[in-house]
Amino acid sequence: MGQLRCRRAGRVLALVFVAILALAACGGGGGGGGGGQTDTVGEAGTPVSGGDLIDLQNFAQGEPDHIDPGLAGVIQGSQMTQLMWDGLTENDYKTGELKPMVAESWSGNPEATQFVFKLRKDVKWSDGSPVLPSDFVRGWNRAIQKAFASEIAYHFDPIKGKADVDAGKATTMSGLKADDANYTLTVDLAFPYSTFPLTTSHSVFSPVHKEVEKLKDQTKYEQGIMTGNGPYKLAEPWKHERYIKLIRNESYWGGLNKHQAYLNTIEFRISKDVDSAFSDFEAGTGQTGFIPPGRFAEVKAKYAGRVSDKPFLGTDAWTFNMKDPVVGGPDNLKLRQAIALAIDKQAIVNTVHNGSRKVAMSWTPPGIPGYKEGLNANANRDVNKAKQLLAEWGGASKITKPIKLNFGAGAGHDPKATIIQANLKELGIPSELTPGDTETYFSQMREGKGQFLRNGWIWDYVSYDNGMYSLYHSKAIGGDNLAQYSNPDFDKLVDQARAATDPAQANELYTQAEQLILTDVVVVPLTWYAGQVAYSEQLKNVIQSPLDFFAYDEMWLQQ
Amino acid sequence: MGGYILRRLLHVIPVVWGAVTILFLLFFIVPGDPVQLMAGDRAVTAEVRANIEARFGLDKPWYVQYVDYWKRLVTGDLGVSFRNNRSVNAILGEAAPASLRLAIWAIIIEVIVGISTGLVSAVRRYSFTDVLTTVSTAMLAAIPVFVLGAALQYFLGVYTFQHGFPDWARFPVQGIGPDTWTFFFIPTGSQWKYLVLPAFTLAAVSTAVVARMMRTTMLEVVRADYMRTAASKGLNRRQVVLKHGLKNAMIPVVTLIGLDLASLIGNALITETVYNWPGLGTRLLGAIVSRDAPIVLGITAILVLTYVLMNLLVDISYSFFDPRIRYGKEATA
Repeated sequence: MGQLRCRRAGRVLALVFVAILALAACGGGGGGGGGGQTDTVGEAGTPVSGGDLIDLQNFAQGEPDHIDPGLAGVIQGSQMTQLMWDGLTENDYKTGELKPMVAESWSGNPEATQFVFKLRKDVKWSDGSPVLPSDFVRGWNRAIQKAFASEIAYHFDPIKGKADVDAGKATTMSGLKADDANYTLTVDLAFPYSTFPLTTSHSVFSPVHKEVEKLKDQTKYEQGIMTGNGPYKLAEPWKHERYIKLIRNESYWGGLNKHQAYLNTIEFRISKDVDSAFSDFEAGTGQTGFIPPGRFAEVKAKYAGRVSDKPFLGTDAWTFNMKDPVVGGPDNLKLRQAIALAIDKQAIVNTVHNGSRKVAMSWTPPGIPGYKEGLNANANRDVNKAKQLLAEWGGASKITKPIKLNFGAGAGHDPKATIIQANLKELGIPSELTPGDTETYFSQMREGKGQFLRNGWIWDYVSYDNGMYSLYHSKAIGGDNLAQYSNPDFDKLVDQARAATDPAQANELYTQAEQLILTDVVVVPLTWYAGQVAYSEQLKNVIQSPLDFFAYDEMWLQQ
Repeated sequence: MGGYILRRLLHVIPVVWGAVTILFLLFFIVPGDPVQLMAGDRAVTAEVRANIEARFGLDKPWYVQYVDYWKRLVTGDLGVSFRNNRSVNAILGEAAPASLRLAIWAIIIEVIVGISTGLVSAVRRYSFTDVLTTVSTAMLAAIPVFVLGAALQYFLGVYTFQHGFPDWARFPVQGIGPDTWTFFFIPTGSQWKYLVLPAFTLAAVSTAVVARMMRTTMLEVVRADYMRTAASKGLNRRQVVLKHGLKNAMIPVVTLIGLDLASLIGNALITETVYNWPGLGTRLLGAIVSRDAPIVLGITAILVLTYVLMNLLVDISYSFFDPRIRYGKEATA
């Protein structure tokens, strides 16, 4: 990884070099650049159907491993599955609100252990045949097969019978019942889980066409043309390392906004280098570009009104190992508070992120239904209060060994760690940078080997639960609960929230649970992630969803 | 000659075996967990891990995996990528031609530009041309490839576009474009535009080195007795230089160029990444980072083979440049 970082540093030097040459070439004239005219984010105007989009942002950092709905785990791959498949439910891209999609309605029992989905009758596959409840059952069972080895099969854990498939006792989930004649799908859960209908908005819950039954190896499906029920379909098989080309699905049922996609085709170009991909955008090759690190402020000024930088559901944070004798446990709460207050989050936003992100005012980002502002009392920097708390705890002299700042090396966390180290030094707290191998960092942190450690979370669904249970529930220790946090009160609140059928009540319980982790100072939220996409003047109606997807089916090109 | 070539070809076997074995073992010694890397920052549940490990045979002890690997390799099957289950043969089938085409063009530039400038500056020693060549080649060899790449991308791609330059002055910033070729390596249609910048960038450093080496060896050759003899026989300067001088000065240069072709295929890593050229270099980088052993082993095997073969070709070519060189027999005093 060392080599990679050198290259990055070299790249900055290269840019400086280029900048000097450019200045010399223009004779000091600051060089206008491509079309400085501003334009309000393209809501206005009437949609124009037609045109071909070349996208340079989605795969600016390389191609995803998968675009099969049962396998696609990373956001770049899910962007493809979002365009090619419609699931039972969907979060509105503008409001984040849960809306019916292929399921026109659903109902759950009072225990939140059974859900019945009533499907629309007008949804068709791109080959024109109807989408039936059994297509969903096929897709879901396919995703959890052992030979399929999907890394996102865990999404089905709440469904009854999933454990039997994992144990090799069954090949299909007993909790799924499809009634094609009446267009209903009944799902029995293994435990109460009121947010289940929301989770089905994830594309791993997509229906899968019966054509897959002819395949010997299901993992090869994504190498050919897949039949979906979304606004777009594959124009040709995935050209690896070059592009993925989608074409409008003419048999599309219309989706949330009841219209076919506007753009005829979208070619998602695959790049290996963020800087080159953005240069390609600046050279006019495509209509969207991913802004490389360190260039945000400059690009935002140059492409005023044409940068999508809405925060999406992701939080970058540093977490305390609650089992650590120095920083963990109730006795050391004041030390943790002092550290949380001392960290200069705004400096991190300004210097590390070039102003592209916002300081996180709580762990859960805005955009999650039930989000409450200002839960984190330690969000704003207050060095005096920090010093006072530290003195009450016993003073910095009580710390005999420098506190370890653990982070994965080569992933851009070093500058944040350096700022935190300097902040702690102001209080007199010694700390040391402890970069871990990217390959082993997370497994070590899971085993509780960290002390004050970097971790981030990007939400899978627009749900409060997704950022709570997997990170702070005692059952998640050994998994993503890197804090090794085990608080029966927290567990109880989250368990109750999961069983609550009234969303408002559930959100209230989650908020209380979040308040607990913030008062206990388990985690120091630093920043909320934000979009970094610039687009051309011709591209209109650019909508970024809370999960950082783009609604390509809503965009159009003004000629 | 035939026996010599055969013997040399037999050397390929232990070399490939050794390279693959060392790399294979390295994957078990160096820490890293391909399953975790696939999942990114997320925890992998026990069931998911078990399924993935079983799928790729990672649950077996290393020696069983090693034997399994060789069993497949002798049948020509390089296995499947851990990342996306694609056959490594198919991946190499896409990537190797792209790399080879780029390398061929880099070599062509290297030969034409490198040899001719080196020759001219040797013949016109200390002239203005010589000084210019010496200085510019030194600079070219010193500029890191990604700096050159970024500069060319900016000035011939971004700048020319933003300042409304005509089409001919504008070059694509990245990508392989339409990927259309005739006779394997001759660009067809607009393909050449996509080739120019990466080929020039890839060739830059080697061209400078070739030019400098050509100049040095040529300067030595110029002082040789046979050059004086040739001149005294009444041959004109052109014949002396090209027929007697150049041919003799070529041996070290050919060695350099020959081995360069092999290394250009594999080491085009930075050029391929900057220009997003879908070749072996970029895939090797990605595979190392994600601990995708089958891809790394497959690409390495191909590179080792190319190296050995190029070495052989270079050795054989010596006899053309210097007829005194014979193969396959012990030298007799």
